[in-house]
Amino acid sequence: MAALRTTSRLFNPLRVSPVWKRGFASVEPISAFSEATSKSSKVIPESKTSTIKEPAPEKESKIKTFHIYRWNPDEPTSKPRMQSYTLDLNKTGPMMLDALIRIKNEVDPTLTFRRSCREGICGSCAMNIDGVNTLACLCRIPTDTKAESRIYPLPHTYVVKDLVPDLTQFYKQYKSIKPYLQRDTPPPDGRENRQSKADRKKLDGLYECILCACCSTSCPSYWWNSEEYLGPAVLLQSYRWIADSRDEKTAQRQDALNNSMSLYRCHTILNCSRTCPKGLNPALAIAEIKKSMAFT
Amino acid sequence: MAAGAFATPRTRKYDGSKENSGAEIVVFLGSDVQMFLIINMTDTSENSIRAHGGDIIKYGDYWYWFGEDKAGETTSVAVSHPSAALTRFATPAAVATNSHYMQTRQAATQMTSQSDGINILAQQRTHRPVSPHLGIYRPQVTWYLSALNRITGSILSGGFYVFGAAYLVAPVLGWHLDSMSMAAAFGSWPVFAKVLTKLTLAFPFTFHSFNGIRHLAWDMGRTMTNRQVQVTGWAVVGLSVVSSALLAFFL
Repeated sequence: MAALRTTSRLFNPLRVSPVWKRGFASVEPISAFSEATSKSSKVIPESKTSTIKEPAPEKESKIKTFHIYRWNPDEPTSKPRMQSYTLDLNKTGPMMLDALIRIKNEVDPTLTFRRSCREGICGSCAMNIDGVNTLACLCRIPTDTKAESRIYPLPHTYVVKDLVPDLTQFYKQYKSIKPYLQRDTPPPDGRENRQSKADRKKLDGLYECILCACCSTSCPSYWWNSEEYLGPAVLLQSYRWIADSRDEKTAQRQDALNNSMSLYRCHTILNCSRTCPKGLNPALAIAEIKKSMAFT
Repeated sequence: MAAGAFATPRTRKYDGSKENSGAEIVVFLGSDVQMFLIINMTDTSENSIRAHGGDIIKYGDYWYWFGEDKAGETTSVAVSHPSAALTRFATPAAVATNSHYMQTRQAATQMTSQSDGINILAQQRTHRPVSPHLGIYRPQVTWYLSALNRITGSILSGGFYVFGAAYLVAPVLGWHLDSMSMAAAFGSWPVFAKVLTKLTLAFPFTFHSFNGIRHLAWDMGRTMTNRQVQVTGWAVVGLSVVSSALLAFFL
């Protein structure tokens, strides 16, 4: 092979450029270089190559529109507005919170909302979705893509930003009902404050409340009188302590509610029970308080 | 230093000019990473550069080195004293043409005390909007019937008081509001007007009565599940419409 290569090297320059035409120092004539570099190489026509397309929506995509309430405290003079977003439901989780998180992660990082546990136990993501107060993490996205979803903050609350309501008043009211066990007498055997199974059963449907404020902010009576009326959530919590067999301040708790505003602004409108994302019945708890106060 | 991770490591030495005496910059240019290793650098005024945790950008012909001046009291350089540690060192060519200049970028920040901050927050709160309520809440039989209960109650009690007051002052003003003359006047109306008047009076009465039973049951803590309140709600609507129609057409 080596012999062959040597031979070809010897004969090749003879064919391309004869030795006598070269300059003394050059190996290849300069014209050969210029010709080689200036000659345009052949381009493969577009018909033989692939086409890279702009990312197009998939045919199977389920595009749903979400209208979301927006307000920015940094522009205090600007009015709240409804911002529209479209999402492909195939790429979105099943719950409204998944949609919100996806918008925040991939579309608009300025969208502001509270969320924490994503499983309906913290009560952070309470908001008004399609006209009803609920937890975004427990609310399935309606798969009907023609129906556009509308998301507002909890109704008749002061807006901190976007979907974040100011719940200061709500928490103050909760504090006002003294939501803790009040006892003067120690347990007889010096151990826990015990109660019977029947007494414990009375607390079912009350202790599960996570104070998400969905029910209170669904109540028209609370909308108009939130300064003085305690609202369904706080009254349900109040009844949780009134109904507790271990609590010894039942009479004081009832006395605190015995005025025209705190309790009796409940007109059994029943939005509270209809909207509770935990399936509790604040209206029934309020009715039980009224009953207990009427028959004592 | 994992120089091997970079595609084309290059070294540029700035030890020839007096502006950069003793300085050495090693620039690693990778496919997506640029890294500088700078040793013993002085700026164009021959001051030693103090820029801890610094970053280097090239703008025009100059390399700028931003960082924290840790000599003496630690200061945040980029915000409070930009000129103190905004150092620059020029390429020899740029120094030769004397075209270098200083680029400063002062961030506009201001200190606020704790109490001022609270005041600003309070000021912001006065502008907070109240989120939409009545207009956006989903219509449901429960709260719509509750509103209707109040409206019909107002119509009934208001009508009662208005008629009672008018009856009292009728002798003074010469009105004829006794039953006989009213019945005679009503009898002379066309049938359409009769039915319409009776219907508008009968419906508030029947609805308020039936819904009142519902409220009495609720006050006893009965029929308060979500399903029950819907069923009884629609039942009251049906009953009151049918009974008011009966009253309007057949009474």
